[in-house]
Formats: sequence, C-alpha cells, structure tokens
Amino acid sequence: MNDMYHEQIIEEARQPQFYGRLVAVEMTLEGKNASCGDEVTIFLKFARKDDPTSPIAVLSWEGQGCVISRAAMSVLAGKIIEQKMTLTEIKNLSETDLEELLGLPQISIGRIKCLVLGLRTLQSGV
Amino acid sequence: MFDPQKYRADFPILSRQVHGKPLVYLDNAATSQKPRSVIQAISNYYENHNANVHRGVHQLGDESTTLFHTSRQIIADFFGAKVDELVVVRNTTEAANQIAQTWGSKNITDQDTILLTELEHHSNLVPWQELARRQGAQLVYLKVTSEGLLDLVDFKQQCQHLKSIKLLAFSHVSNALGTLNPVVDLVMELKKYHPAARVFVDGAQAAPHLSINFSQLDIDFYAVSAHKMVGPMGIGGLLVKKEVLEALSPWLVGGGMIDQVTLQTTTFADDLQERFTAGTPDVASLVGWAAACQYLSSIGMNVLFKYDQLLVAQTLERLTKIAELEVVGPLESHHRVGSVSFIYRGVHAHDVGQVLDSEGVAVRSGHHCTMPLHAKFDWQATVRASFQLYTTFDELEALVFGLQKVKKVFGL
Repeated sequence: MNDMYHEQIIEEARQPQFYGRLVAVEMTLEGKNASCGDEVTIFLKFARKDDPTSPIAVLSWEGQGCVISRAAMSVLAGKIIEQKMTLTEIKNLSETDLEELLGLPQISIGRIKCLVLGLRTLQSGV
Repeated sequence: MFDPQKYRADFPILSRQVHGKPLVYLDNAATSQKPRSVIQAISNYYENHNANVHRGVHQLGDESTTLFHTSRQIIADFFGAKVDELVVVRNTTEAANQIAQTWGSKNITDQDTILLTELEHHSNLVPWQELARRQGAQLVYLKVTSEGLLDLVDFKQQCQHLKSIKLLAFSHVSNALGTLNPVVDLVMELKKYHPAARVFVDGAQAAPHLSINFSQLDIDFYAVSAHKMVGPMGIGGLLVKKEVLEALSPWLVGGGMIDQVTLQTTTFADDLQERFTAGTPDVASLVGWAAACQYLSSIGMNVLFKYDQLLVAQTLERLTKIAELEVVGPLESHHRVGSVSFIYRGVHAHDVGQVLDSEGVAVRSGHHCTMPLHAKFDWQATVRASFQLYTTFDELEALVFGLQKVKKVFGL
C-alpha cells in the first residue's frame, strides 16, 4: 500500500498537470469506470488545426476519481505534451508504460481500471 | 497404454463401498466424480481467497478477481476458444434457453425452419420447440437410423428441400445412445444450402471425452457442463463466436454488466466478459472447473479418447454376447463415445438398475431425457453404462456379473 501511495503520486493527484476545462477545442473525449464511478473528460487541440493525425498541441482534462486515476492521467498528459505525441502513438502505450511513469512496480488487479482510465479514454479517440 | 489405476486414487469417492461392495460407478454421463484437485481448489478458494470480484480494493478482492480471470482463461483455452467467447452459465440447458430467448426471439420468424434431430436430449429440444411455437416457425427433425446414427441421406434432402433453415441444433455426442455425430460434415452440408444458418451444438457428452477446438469448428454456439468433465455441478459454458456474441443483447441485466445507469435508462458494458456476467459469479465453481480442465489436460484428451474407445469396444463385445440383452444404438465402437445402452428383455430398466445397485454397480435407467427417441423405437426405458477415465475393465466385468444376477433374481 505504501508503495502505491508514494509522494510523487499523491502530489501528482493533488496538483495535477494540465487540469481544467478548455473551450473551443477540436476534440473532447469522455471516459468512465462503471464499477467505481470514476470519470474523465479530455480536451484536445492538434498541431495542425482539426487534423487528429498531427501531434497533440494542447491537452487539458478534468474528472472525478481516485488518486491513482488522477495521477496516471496527470503524468500521461505531461508525457504527451512534452513529447508532442500523436493519438496513434498514444494507442501504442500500455498499462506497463503508465506503471513506469508513476514509478509503481506492479499495480494490483483491482486498480488497473483506475490506472488506465485516462489512457483508454485517449485511445478511444483513434 | 493409459492405466486408470494410476488415477483412481485421485478420486476420493471411488474408495467407498455401496451395500458392502466396492463402488462401480458407471453413471458418468449423468455426472462424473471429482478428483481431489478439483475439490481442494474449491475449498482452498473459500478457505483462503473468498471475496467478491471486481469490487473491493483489498487483497482478497484482488486474489479472487485474479482467480476468476485465470480460471476463465484456462477453461477457454481448454476448448480452443477466445476468453471473451466464454459465457458462464449454470448448465447446458440454460445455455440453450439463453440462445433461444435472445438470438432466437430476435432472428427466428414464421418464415423460418429450425432443424433438430430425433436424438436430442430434452435440453436441446424443448427450448427450440418453445421458440418455434412462440415465433410460429417450422420445427423439423432429422431422422435417426435403426443403428442409432443420424440419417445423412435424410439430412442432405432436408437441406436441399427446406426453405430458410435458420438454426441447426444437435448434440456432438448423444447422451442416450453414445452416438458420435459428424459435426464437420453436418455443418459443411448445411452451409452449402443455408450459408447464413446458425449452428448450436450440445457438447455436454463430448467435452468429457473428446478434444474440442471451438476456433476450428464452423459452429456459432457450443454448450458444455463442467460436472460431466470431472468439474463441479452448477456451472457450465456457452461458447459463442465473438462476432455472433457482439451482436447479442445480454439476457441477464443488472449488477456488474453495466456501463452507465440512470433512473430511466442503462447502457451495457462493451467488454463482452462483463456484458454477459450479470450479478456475482460463482467464482469457487469456476476455479473448480479450471482445476478439472487442468486435470484432464495433464493426461491429455487424445489419450482419454483412445481409452474411452477401448472401454466402449470391450463393453459392446461383452454385452452383445448376453442373450437377454439388446444393445441399442451404434454397434461399432468408432460411432460411439462414453456409454453403452441396452434393454434387458423381460426386465424393466429400473429393476435392472436396482439389482445392479445391490452389487455396487451404479448405472442410469430410464428414458435419459430423450422421450421422443425412446418413443420412436418403442423402448419403454433403457439401461445405460457410461464411462470416465477411472473406469476399469474389471468394473465392466462387475457389470456383466451384476447382469447375470438379474437373470437369477427374476428367474429367467
């Protein structure tokens, strides 16, 4: 348990990166976890206007969720913006990539849904 | 060669006595006995891991969820199916009912024909009969020959002449006669004339004895029961080809299978495993069933099939020599799997069963849930001896000995 809630994760969830609602966006993606009620909405603008194959230039998100789902979405947002990733590149990211980003060795089966909520939501955009 | 003696000690119940005689359990087509590994998998689950799945964020919940998913995977692999093609049901009867009520109600009209066979267990007959009645569809039965085989000439003609066969439902192996039906040939012939027809196969009697590769079969629905294949009672599987399952509406709705619920509307989970698992699943039985699959796999289904063929051949050889008996169904062992049924002339099947029981020999007597088949051949009731991997040649001799006692008891 202590491994799961290490300082970076708590901090990440408390002050998440790229959090907030954006208007005049080019793509809005919504995701939720039926079993726990966590939800996320992700707002995107692309490097080439209205071209979802081009790199993501602007990303913000908001949602209700546990520390794991918020921290995972936060670090994922950071990686996407830093590396100017495309939706296709995001499609190739896995659960393991998120575990590495968060510094979690192996998340328990009951929390995988929390970990991947943001990622699956972004992946639904392709 | 396969030696059942090496495995009998794995089945605790086989060491008990019945009426002071060693148990000779020849009622395996009704239900098989369970090895210790299956019993222990179930008790271990309750003693060490019990918690509901997919819910609590706690250690036991995680363990139970992991066991649930690994068990599903083991079972799906055993049948050569994708894990999300496995819908867990209580038994084969429930599987047929589900398909009749959902796929059937949506797709069968009064213009359509449902083709069944005269061999079927009531579980693979009554649901379709009810469906035909509800929808006004035509119900046609493929004939069974006097040898107990499906009449393939009749089948070809039915395929050619019947308009709009929407569903063909038949058993892989007959529970009453042991007939091994030619699944691949039947489906190939059907699809020549009715390419869009769906095929439902009752695999309850095949799964304990044959290696089944669902992905290799051009079959939409394949139903099995765990308890006939050394697994626990009350759990079974309906294998549905993924593309067919994706188009099906869930038949049970409520807990666990939802995407979003409001007071007025509900959307269902996209994930097929979730969509078709409503309510708390029977995790312990699923774990037990997976242990059964592993037990059978550790010996090898091809090995077990060969051994079953030896048992069938030997039983046919021994029983056809008894003057008072009429063996019913195929007389060539390669057409038969898992059982041999017979009539004792002048003695009712229940009386035969009772005398055999006094010798510790358990068989099934009656119509074996195949009343139309018994009526067709004018059999009031038959006696069935059915086998599992722990059946020995000595036990077949105990059966023969018991049948000699029948003669004495009834003064024939």
